[in-house]
Amino acid sequence: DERMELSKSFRVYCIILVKPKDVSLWAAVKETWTKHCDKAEFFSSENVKVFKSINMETNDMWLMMRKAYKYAFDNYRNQYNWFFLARPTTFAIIENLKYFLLKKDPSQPFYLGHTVKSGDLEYVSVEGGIVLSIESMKRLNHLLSIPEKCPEQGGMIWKISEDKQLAVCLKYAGVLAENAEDSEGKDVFNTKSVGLFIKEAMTNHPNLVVEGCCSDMAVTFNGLTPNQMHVMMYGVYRLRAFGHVFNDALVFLPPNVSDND
Amino acid sequence: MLREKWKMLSESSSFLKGVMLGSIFCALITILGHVRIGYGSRMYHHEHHHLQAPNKEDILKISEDERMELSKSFRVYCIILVKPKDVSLWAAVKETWTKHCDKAEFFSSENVKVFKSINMETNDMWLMMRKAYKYAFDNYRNQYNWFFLARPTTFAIIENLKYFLLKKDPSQPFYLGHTVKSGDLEYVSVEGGIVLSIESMKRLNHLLSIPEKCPEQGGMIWKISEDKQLAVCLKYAGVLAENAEDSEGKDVFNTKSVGLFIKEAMTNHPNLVVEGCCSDMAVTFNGLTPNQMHVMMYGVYRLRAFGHVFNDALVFLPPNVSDND
Repeated sequence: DERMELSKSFRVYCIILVKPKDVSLWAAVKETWTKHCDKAEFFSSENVKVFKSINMETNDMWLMMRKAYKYAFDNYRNQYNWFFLARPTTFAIIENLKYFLLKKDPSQPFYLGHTVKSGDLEYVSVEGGIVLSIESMKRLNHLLSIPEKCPEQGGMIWKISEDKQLAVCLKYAGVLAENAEDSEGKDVFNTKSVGLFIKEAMTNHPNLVVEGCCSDMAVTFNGLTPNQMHVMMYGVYRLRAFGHVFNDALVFLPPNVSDND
Repeated sequence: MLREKWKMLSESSSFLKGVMLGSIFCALITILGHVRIGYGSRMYHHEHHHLQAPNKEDILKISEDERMELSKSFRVYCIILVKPKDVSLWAAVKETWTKHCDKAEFFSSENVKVFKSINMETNDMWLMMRKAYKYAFDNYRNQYNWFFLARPTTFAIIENLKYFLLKKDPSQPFYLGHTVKSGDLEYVSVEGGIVLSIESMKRLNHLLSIPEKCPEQGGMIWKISEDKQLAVCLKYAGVLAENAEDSEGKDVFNTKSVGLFIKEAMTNHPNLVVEGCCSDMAVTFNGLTPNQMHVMMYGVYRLRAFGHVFNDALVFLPPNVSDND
């Protein structure tokens, strides 16, 4: 019973930042993994006729990200406790995200994903997907209105990538980036595709290709084509070795509209 | 002389029984069948022999102990036909799915230093196939009840093969896979993998020694592919090819890769790409690179949506050496 309650207590809101050039990936992402979010919305740089989206009215990725986070917080702060942001090149398995977050308290300031170190700054790479707890969202949204701490134009001489800008901002609020790993220390948020991992594994440790590749409970992979998105969907949610036992202790049912893939 | 006639008679009567059962089953399916998503080549159902996977309700009716016994009763012997040029695929296949066979052996055209194999001492695919089947039958007839033959371009999920074979009696002459019609002949394409029950193996091996029925050199003018030659041979023994399908009518043995299926689905029915693509319980895909073999392995046996419920009614544990992938 407690397990049932627990699995229902995770409500994940997905923010996908898109631009007109992403339209084929947008279509793929809309059709596939985003259906497993409790709610998913697409935030675009401009209105695109083909798909419904929330118009951020800017081409600048950092501005898009700020506005999207503000919109999400203002509208959904009481309905969701975890906020997942991704680009349409990313494929995510939301059940694994929930599994990963299992014992984490969203009223704590979590900022998770695939981290990268740049000088003194450790930030979560947007390509692997960014996870913020409601507490982090609260702190972020407070800072967004303080230009000295969280300016709209980050770099002096050249532009700083939006994921770095986010990290700088959050740092002011005492929110630090954490790299998400499974019990064996493997990254759970990935900025590469499965194919690329396997390719590298075959070169670097050909004796342990599959074992050495990736986490069994990977949440994200990145750099996929629309075709590969559907292949992932088929591979994760449909094709299986019948009767091959995994013994997962918790059940995460996707929302009704996902067609239970 | 009389004995032979009697044998022929009893064989042909069981053949007739099989045909009758098959026709009734086929008719039932055609009557009860519902709309399928655009499988153009599969529209002529009444001309093909189909064989379906068991459905969950049937399995759940079996007791737990009986299910345990049932899952242990399948012993699959895998024959993989390789040539020196296949060496990188051979490596991938050896490292991945073949570990899930109860036993897998590699039959090569010649000795290759890098890997252990059984040398068939011929470059001709049909001769290789004949010799491999004979070797397998002579050595393992009492130890395995199902025989699965594949090329190293194929990826197979043996658990799904066992699930598919669940209610099929190996003492019946089964010859299954992805079938293709060539004129009058319906044969199982080697690219999707060929499944023979022990009874079919028995009949085949008997025929292999009769040159008139099962010649080593099939075609008069040009070479006939080995999978067609096998079908011709088996037909003499009353063994007919059957296309394996799941409960929705989707092919379970595939001669293409997942990527290619998805690509075609995105063109032909973009609204139902994943749903229209392939069977959830697919046994084989073909045309994979070594890299893709490992990707499949990761995708099938490791990566999963944690807690996503499938509720499979039976468990098939792979052999110990497979590292339980």
